[in-house]
Parts: sequence; structure tokens; C-alpha cells
Amino acid sequence: MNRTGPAFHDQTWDLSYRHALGETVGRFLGGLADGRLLGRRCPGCSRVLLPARAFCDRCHLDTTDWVDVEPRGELAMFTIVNEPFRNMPTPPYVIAYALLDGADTALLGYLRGVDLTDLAAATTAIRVGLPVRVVFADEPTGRVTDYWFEPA
Amino acid sequence: MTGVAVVGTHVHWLDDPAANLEESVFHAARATLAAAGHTIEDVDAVVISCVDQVDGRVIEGMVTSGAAGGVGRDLTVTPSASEHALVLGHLRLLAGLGRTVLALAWCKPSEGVDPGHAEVVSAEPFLLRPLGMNLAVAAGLQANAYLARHGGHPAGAADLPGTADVVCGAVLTTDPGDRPAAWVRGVGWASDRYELGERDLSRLAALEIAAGTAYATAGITDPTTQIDVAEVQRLSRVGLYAACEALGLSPPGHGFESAGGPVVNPTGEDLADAAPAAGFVRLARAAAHAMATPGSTAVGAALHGFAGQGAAVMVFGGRS
Amino acid sequence: MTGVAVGIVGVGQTPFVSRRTDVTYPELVREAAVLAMADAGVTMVDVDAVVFPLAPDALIGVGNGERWCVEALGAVGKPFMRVNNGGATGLTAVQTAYLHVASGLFDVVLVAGADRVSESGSAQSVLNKMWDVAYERPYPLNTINMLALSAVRYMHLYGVDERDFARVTVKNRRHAARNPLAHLRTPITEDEVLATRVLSWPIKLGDACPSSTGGAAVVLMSERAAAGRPAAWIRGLGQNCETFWMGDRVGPTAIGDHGDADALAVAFDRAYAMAGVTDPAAQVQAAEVYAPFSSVELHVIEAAGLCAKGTAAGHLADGAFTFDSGTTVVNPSGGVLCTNPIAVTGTVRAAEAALQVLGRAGEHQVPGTDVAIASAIGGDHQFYSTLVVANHLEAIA
Repeated sequence: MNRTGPAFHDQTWDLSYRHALGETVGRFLGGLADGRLLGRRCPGCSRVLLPARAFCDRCHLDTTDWVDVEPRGELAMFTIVNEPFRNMPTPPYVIAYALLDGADTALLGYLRGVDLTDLAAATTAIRVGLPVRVVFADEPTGRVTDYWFEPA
Repeated sequence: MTGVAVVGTHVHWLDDPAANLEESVFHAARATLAAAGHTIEDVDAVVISCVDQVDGRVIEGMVTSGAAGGVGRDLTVTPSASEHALVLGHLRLLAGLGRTVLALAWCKPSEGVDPGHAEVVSAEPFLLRPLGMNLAVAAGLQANAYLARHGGHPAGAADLPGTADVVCGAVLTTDPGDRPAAWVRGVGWASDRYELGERDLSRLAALEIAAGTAYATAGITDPTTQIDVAEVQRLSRVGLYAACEALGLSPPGHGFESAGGPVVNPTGEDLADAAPAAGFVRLARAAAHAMATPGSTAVGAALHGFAGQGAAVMVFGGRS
Repeated sequence: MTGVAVGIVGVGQTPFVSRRTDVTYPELVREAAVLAMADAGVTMVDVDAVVFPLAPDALIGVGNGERWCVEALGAVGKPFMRVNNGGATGLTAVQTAYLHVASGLFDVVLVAGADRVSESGSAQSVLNKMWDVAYERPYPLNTINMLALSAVRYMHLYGVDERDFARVTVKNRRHAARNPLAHLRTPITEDEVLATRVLSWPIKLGDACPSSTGGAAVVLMSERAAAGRPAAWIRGLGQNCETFWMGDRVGPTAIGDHGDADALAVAFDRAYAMAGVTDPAAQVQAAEVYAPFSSVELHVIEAAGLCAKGTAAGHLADGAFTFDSGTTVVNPSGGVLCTNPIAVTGTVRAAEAALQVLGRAGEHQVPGTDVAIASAIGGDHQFYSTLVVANHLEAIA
């Protein structure tokens, strides 16, 4: 036993959860397998919220209509992740939000199909307003990573 | 002193574990407002209480703030005790910063694969965690300490309340108008020491202190005659007796006996008092009693932490 | 308003460092509390209630770890309440303490807490769990890239570049060099910042806050209890929330752009209205405003009303927002960019603002400060908390 110097206690939290997604989220994820991007409209502000949400937090109202959103739009914002973080994918990769035709809110997704070997060049090739299309995975897994963006 | 009243409460024990938590909070917020005859636009501030490790969300207030009606508003999260959402809402209105507050609390332990294990991580790592301390174990220790002092049969698992998924809310306001109102006549809250080995578990000291403060403000000198109804969160069957004594509803060691006086936990149902949000539920139920019977005085008593380390008491009644 | 004047009469901060291997978490909290109480001339016997700032429990490894600290604070038997508004927690705690005193129920309230961010070993993976279960957790979102997205919007909206961001780091490090308690105190040049490795473009290591360990505390008193003590009177406070959904903050139907901090401006407006501040740039001499990345400070300066939207970078390049500039000094302590003990970062902002109006900020004192502001941000740039303090109770000129 070490009687000199500071003492330490190693501990890991090993907590597991099974989160209930609910029908609205479930239907959005199922839609991805059919190549559909499903939004929901708020009767208060008329926004089409994408991905689909059961209520609008701006108006504090239940959303109503399901809306099919087009698989194309423009990048609203992006970042090129360069630094590895524990339990995260190997960089570099691009995370982006895209405003798709028919949706009022931007959708989160990876941007693929861009050359990231030269970071400086990439930061000019990728820009706010870049036209993008949505690509769906050939073998969907029922998660939001079943789609991503590529330059249109 | 500014008067503050509860004008609506809502308690919903979720019966479907497949219900989305954020959506459940949203519906509870709307139902609470409806019960109070208010809309979200009337609300000046929101206070919420939830526990990260129970619901499996870090800084849980982030993803739930919209459901709670927080967008565009002042919102504060008080995770230590569900009842603190009501207490802080009350403080805010006493301070004159606003007229109406929405307070919400919830928990969804069904999403935790092992909620008892989630409680173990609330134990400090040096002494209590290696022992596997959790709420049930602590409640058992408290019950047996009480019985050791006052006599009785050892407490068993059947005496412990369960946990459950629940969302609840209340609207507080300084201006109830003509609505039925449960005026807050007094409030007290306190925390005892953390290390169980250093507490006299046969008594609930934090609850005694909280009750003392609440009663003093409310002008209650004889709880057995001045209180009509009490909603008391129980750690266990035996823990309820200890709580009644701390609340002055019965003399020490006589919690087993019905001494006449206030009706304690009147519906007699087996409430899931081990649910983290159960403290808020008990206070909300007390307010509901006071609203339903004008002129009556109701007390709500909530506990949190191991063996009721912390407590809050609210006295509801007529205006003054 | 009840008419109860509430002031900060004591502050305490431990030196902020990467690790403290000599104390447990409750002991670290106690260190800060003892400093603040000594500064206020009180002991725990005099404290009526405690408000405890603690952000995610997972970062200190004890669920509801505030309950563990009751004995260390000497708070056994007292009213004890914790708040968690993410990164804004430390200032939300000060606001909550204000409500305790302004309610008329308490005269002396202690706010005390600590953090030891780097000692959790996996802060970023813990913080991954703050995102929406289905729609966001599958992505590697974290506090750095969420604000990198914001920086990209800001660059797009206002035409600034990485050098404009680097200037913020240069200024704050220069300020931190005057603050013996700050974590990162080494002066740095623009080119050195630009040469640091990219974390999430455009945010580089030189644009980012450290993970700090340390404690902070303040003591609030009613005017009656202060009994003539010098106080940093809380003249205004405000909080506001923005939508959690970052995708809602872009496009024609957005209420506030993710590149701006409009919801923070609303929180400031609430505090300014209460305080009677009508022209912050002229009436506020020191600003301790939460900004964990260099880019964030620019839109925070604008949200605080210290200059028009999109102009902060230009003013900074012209020498504004620092000592002897004739403008409001922004983050004279070095700010969050140089010191970030998450749970109490907001408390540090309040403490530093208080020190400024009390004339006790030592080498980083902004001369002639009568009015100072503090702000904090939590969640995904979602929870906003603001404070106005002054060394007097008369109308703010």
C-alpha cells in the first residue's frame, strides 16, 4: 500500500438505459428506411419541424400534419472535426445542418463525398449555402445515421 | 408579505413505459396549465426538477426545457429534490419577480435497466458505495433504527414503497382571482448530514426542522388540531411513523397509533413514494386538498436523499 | 419587487488549476466557502441558507453530489438547494440565492461549489448524453463542435475570419496574466493561436477554454444584514432560454440565428430593465461574460449591448474592450477562455464582477468601475443568465 503521496479511487459509472422513443420518433426513423424524410407541422407557427417532433417548443402546442420533405437543400452550417475524442469516430469528418426544401428547421447529418485531405482547401470548398442532396443507406439500421448529405 | 397560492395541480403516473419522456413532460405541462386555468403565455418563469442518472440524460433540463414551456422564459433546474421546484417557484414570487410560475417534476425510472444501481452511484465512493448503499437499503436502516428505539417487528421488503414513472406540475401565482386557491401559509426545507453512520436514523431531523419553520410562519402551534390533512412521503411503513412524529402529528414512539387529529395520506393508496418525483406529488396533493375544501389546512411533507437526508414541508390553507 | 436590496458582500475563489490531488470534492467546495465567508466576515453559524451549483453529476462521479457536501460546508440542518443549468449553473445559483434573500425569508445566503472537469477522464463522452436520444446521440456532437457550428454561422453573417477570433484569445490571456487565480495565464500572439491544432474547424486549441479544477463561492446579504458592509448590490438579473434544437436556429423562420446570441440579449434586456441601464456601453465599465471559445465572446459582447451586431471583431481589432481603451473592459479576469471550472464558472463571473465594483480586483481592476455585468451560458447555447451589479443603490447614471 502506498503511504506517501495522494491516494486515488478508480471508478466507472456503468449505467444502462432503454429509452422509449415514442410513436413520432419511431415513425420518422421508419420513414428513413423508405427513403422518406418526415416532418411535422405546428398549427401555431406553421413551421414544418424536421426531424419530426410531437410538439412545437416555440408555441407549446402539439404538432399535427405529417409532411414529406424533399431530399435536397443547402448547408446552413457545418464544422470539420479534426480532433479525436474518446468514443467518437476517427477524424476528419464533417458534421452539418442542412435546410431541406419543405422544412423550416435544418437537419443534422454527416457531409460525405468531400475531399478532406487538405483542411484549408476543404474550409473553402464546403460553405454555407452549398447545395446538397440527401443519400439514404442501402441497409438501414433504424437510426438517424441511415442518411447523410453529399454535395449536389 | 406577498401572498402566493397554488391554483392548479396535475399528477400523472405513466402507465406505458413506451411513452416518450419529453412528450410526457409536454403533456403534463399543458395539463397543469389547463387545471390552473392558465396558458403558457401567462407564465413568467418555469422551475423544473428531474434527475440525470434516473432518466439517463446528462443535464436533463436541456432536452426537456422546451417541453416544460421554457423557451423564451426564465427556467431553472433544481435536481436535488423534486419538491424544490415548488419551493423555488414560491421564493421567486415572494421576491416579486413575476406573478405566475409553472413548476414541474418528473422521473422515468422504467428507462433505467437497473434503477437501484443508479442510486448506488449517488453514494460517495469511499464508504457508502462499496457497501452498495441505495434508497431501499437506507430506508431499511432508518426503519430498523426506529424499531430498535421504540420496539416492534423488524422491517422487511414488503414495507418499502415502490418507484414508478410520474410527471407532475403545479401553477403558483400571486393573483388567483376567483379561482380555488391553496395559499402557501408556510414553507420550510432543510438538509441533514450525508453520512448515515453519523445520523440518528430513528428520527427524521431534517423533516423536524422543515416542519418547525413552516409551522412558525403558518402560525401552527398545535399540529394535531390545526391541520386537517397531511400528505406525507413515506420511506417505509415504519418511516411513515417517524415522519408523523417529526411533523408533530404524534408523540415519539407513538406513530403506530392513530391519535385522532389530522388524516394522514387520506386516500390510503399505495403511492410509489420511492419515485424521485414523489415528494413533489405529495406537496401537490396537499395543495389539491386545500383547494378542494376552502378553509381547510393541509400539510405536504417531502423527503429526498438516503433515509430522508433532506426534507421540505409546505402548509396550504386559506389566505390568512 | 419587494424592495429588499441584495448585495454580494464576500467572494472566494481557489486558484484554478488542472488537478487537485490533495482534496476530495467536498473539501474543495469547503475551501472556497471558507474564503468567501471570511471575506464577508461571517461564519457558517451566520448563514441562513445554502445554494449549491453543480452541473452534470457525472463529471464529479457522485450522483446528486451536492448532498455529499452538506457536512463539509457546515450546513447541517440548514435549507440547502442545488441548481443545474449546465454551464450557466454558477450564475443561476447566484440568481437563486438572490431570490432567497429578496423573498424576505433569509438574510445571509451562501453560494458555494467546485468542479474538477479534467479529472472525470471522459468529459466529452459524458456530455454526449446531453443530446436528444434518437436524433442526436448517434452523432459525435459535443460542446466544441456545437459552437464551431455557431462560429461558422457568425463568419458567414459578418465576414469575420479566424484571426478575428484569435484576437479574443490574445486579449484574454493578457488579462489573465494580471489575475493570479486564472488557469491559463501565458500571453499568446495571434499567430501562435492560429498555429494551434484544429479541434473542430474553425475552433482550434488556442480558441478553447481549459478544463479547470477549483472552487468558487459568494455570500449574499440583505441590506439590513450587510449593516454597512461594502457590497456589490445586485441591481438587475435576468434569465432566458432558447430552443434546444440547433437546427431551429437557422433559416427564414428562425427566431434567433445560431451565429448570434439573441436569446442572451433578451436575458440582458431583462436585467438592464430592472437595473435601469439604458446604454450599457456608456454605463457599464467592466463585463465578465461567459465565453468558452474565442468566437463566442464576439456575439456575447454584442448581446450585452456593448456594440452593434457583427461589429465586435472590428472594435476589438481597433483596440476596444481592454484596459485603457476608453471602452467597457470585457473579461478583465481573463474570462472563461482562461479558466473554466464548469459548475462554478458562472459564480466566478459574479465574483469577478463584484470585485470590480468593490475596487478589489487588484492588478486586473478596471479603474473607476461602479457598474459591472456578469453573464453565463448553459446547455447547447440555450440557458442564459445575466446580472448587473453596482457599488451603490442610487439610479444608474
